[in-house]
Amino acid sequence: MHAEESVDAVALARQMVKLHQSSGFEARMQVEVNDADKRMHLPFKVAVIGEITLEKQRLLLRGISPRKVREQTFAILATADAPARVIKSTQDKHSAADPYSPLFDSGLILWDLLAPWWGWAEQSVIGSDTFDDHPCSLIRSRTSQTENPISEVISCVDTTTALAWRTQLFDKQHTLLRTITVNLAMRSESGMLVARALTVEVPGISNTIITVYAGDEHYQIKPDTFSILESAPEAEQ
Amino acid sequence: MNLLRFAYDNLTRRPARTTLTMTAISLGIAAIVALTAIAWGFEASWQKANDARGTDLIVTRLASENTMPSPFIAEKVRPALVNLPHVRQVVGLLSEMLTVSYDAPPMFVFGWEFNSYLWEHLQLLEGRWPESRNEPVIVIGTLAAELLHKKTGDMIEIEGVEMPVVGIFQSSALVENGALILTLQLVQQITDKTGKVNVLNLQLDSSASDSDIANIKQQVRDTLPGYTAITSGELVSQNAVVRISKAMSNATILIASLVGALVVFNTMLMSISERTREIGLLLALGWHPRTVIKLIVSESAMLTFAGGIIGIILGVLLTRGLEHIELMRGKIDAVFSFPFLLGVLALSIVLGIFGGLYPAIKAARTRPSQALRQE
Repeated sequence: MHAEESVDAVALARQMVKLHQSSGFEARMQVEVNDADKRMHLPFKVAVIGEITLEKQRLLLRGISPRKVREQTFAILATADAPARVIKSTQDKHSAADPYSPLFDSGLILWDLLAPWWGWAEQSVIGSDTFDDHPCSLIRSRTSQTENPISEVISCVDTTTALAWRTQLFDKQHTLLRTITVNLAMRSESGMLVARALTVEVPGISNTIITVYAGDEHYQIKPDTFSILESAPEAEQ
Repeated sequence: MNLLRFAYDNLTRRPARTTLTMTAISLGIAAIVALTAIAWGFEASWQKANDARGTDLIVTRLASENTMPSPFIAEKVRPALVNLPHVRQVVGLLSEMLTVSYDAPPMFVFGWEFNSYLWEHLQLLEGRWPESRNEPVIVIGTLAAELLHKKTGDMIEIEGVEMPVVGIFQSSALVENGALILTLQLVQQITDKTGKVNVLNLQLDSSASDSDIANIKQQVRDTLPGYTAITSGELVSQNAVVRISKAMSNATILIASLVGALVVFNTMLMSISERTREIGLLLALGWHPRTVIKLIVSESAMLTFAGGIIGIILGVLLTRGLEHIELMRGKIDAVFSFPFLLGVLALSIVLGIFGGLYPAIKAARTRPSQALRQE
């Protein structure tokens, strides 16, 4: 067990932000959704391309298969001084979308992929725990931003590997909205431990298993990779 | 009476115990045979694929512990390689393990440079090869065709892109028979890895000697930091899956050997304690203690010899059975060599000798006067 006193939550959060930074990456994922009544949906595949810096985080989520998913692309832009903005692109139009909305009836949410809670000002250690035999420190991240439906996140972080094995997201009333758990981790080329398979559990609604089956840690962002963020209309829902 | 005949009769006198002991030994030996053959076969299949292609050296990124080395931009490395002495061709390869049908296991999708030597060893059974570097078509191995239930003219969707199967081929390597092959440019496009490859294959001219190969390796180390030139055998032995399967087979050999020796030890110990009077009588009749040791060790060696033979047969049958299970098809290409099977049999006999040695010595030390008094 980790002694929570020895963990500096603010320093750990800063380390998490730093570790998430990338000049370009690509991850292709298979997503399987099971309803609360165990009904399984047809799996789908998406590709996520990202560029994460301290000033700006950009992600492009492109549907791969089946056809219904393939026709949709989402791009999210988050900066330090503005709320996250999402543009959805289909074959014939670009439109603004909600960063907190689940994609393709799954537990996949663009805002979650950015893990922005590590940048929130309020970070504290509230205890220690184990997850699947991995000892971890419980870090509470809080925000007072009123427009944000998530106001508190409790992460179970293995401080030696800086991997959050379990992340619980709560609303303002401290209702648990979803839990993200890492089922399988792998070492990246840089030696960092990263999630390879995740489960997003939305209580009473669904269980989504996300498996990264291919990727590129040195993806070259092209000038037009995030072009839909510029070409899209500003605020059409 | 012949000592071996006597030992044999002692074993058949207690058929239930003999059968149980032999079963335990044969299961251990079967596990050793199956796991080792699978581990060796996995390694051999990858090496066979590289050797069949005619690749002499592979240039890849350092410290790659994934199944395939992580992709890199080919043109950053190629110019330095083409001018090295003895290098005839430098050919890029991009590979991914992908699910192309939810009814079939994930399969290798290879992207090979169009018109390169990589294609030459494949035997086209029906259809044709791709006709240009950008033609959106697929050729598939016989095993892949069987698993996907596809024939020439059928469509296959890879990462959201639908393409027709234009040819079915056969390779001497199982890995390739279970794979889908496209041109490199096409796989780069589909997987969004423009210009990237996992490895660069080097084909050298026929005059290249071992020292020339060593020179090329050294030059790559010196001029291309972060990259390494290795032979296909070295690449395969560095593969994490090969390492894991070999470690598993070694662990199985160790555990099965320990369990086997303990089973024999226990059986022979029980046997001699039941036969104390009999052993005492033999010693009283003038048997030399060394002859008693020989008798007990012969019994245990016979047990493990028979268990070894049954285990080897069981292991071979088990592996062949696994090869035909739908989930395993195309993944197992077990290798059984005669020296290996002979080695396993020798191991089981050695286990018998060691397992029976202490009980045999204990039996030989029995005092006839005490033994004959025992009920």
